[in-house]
Amino acid sequence: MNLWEAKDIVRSHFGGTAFPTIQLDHALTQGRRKIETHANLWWMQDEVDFSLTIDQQEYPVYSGAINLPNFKDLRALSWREAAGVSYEPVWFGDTTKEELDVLYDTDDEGSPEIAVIENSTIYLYPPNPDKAYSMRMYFYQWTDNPAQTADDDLLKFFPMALVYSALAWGYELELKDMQGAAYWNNLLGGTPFGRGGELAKLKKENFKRGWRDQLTLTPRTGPGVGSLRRISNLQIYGSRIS
Amino acid sequence: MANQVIEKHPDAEILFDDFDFTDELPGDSALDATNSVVTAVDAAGNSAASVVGTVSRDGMSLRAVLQAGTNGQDYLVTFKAEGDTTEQVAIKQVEMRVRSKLTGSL
Repeated sequence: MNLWEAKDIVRSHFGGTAFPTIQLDHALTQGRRKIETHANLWWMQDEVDFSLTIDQQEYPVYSGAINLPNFKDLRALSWREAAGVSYEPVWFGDTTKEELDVLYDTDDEGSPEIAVIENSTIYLYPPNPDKAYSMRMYFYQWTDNPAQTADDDLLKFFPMALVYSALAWGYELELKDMQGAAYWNNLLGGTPFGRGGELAKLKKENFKRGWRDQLTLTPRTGPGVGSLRRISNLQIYGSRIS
Repeated sequence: MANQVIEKHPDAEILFDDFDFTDELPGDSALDATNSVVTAVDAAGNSAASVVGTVSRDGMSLRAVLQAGTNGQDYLVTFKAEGDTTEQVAIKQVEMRVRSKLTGSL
């Protein structure tokens, strides 16, 4: 389904000319945002390359070398020598900035070992890169609706998710019809919201796609029982994840 | 919201003559021939000059032939009228939805 077809379905519920097109565009934009809030979905994946600056620890996501105004979430980070050909992983997500600030000295130097995102800035540790390493960042980003006469994976495979989401927005903000909005929200996400409807189908498909590539072993016995079997998981040697 | 909304088949070529500017430009009796123009943009805001054909004036009316267009595209056509005497400017817009299968429900 192309965007204009989804647009026309939404329009038809408002009488064809009663819903100003600019408001309709807002409804579709916010409808997509509402869907993407619920999960990091496959079409949101992307990657970007950037270079480190010697002795610079902080890299804003929305500007500067990374410059991703629609950034949503970090998936993975890796580095290589500027003239190198093989990447090394940079671990992130297991440790907070306050812990890393304690673990590393302020004058520690070297290649990136671990990263943390605080607000919208990536902090690298050790805090002083000794070279201008080439970084590759894999991430999820908020996406825009495609052009009027085009589609994307959301519109191709789950078009009614966008239609329901836009209708819910329109019923709430244009018609002030909360009961009607609840009806469309239920078709979008079921009750409790997110556990049913189109969102559940989307998340199931998303899980299937990720599952193939991201198999994680979970020990059933021993000191690491119940914990994720990843080298970066410090809890593997201690308490179990509940 | 545009002053008017129309649906048009991609093959249709119509004379749109619904915009009279007498009320908006009461001090004028004719429109400036040079500065009264009709332009169009598509849904992304890109110029879509090809959907506007011959532009003409009749007293305080500004007319344009609306033609072609891509199926599924919504065009915002802007009629900019400048009074011949006062040089005041008034603008009206028509939203033209180009559909090969007209809904007929507008």
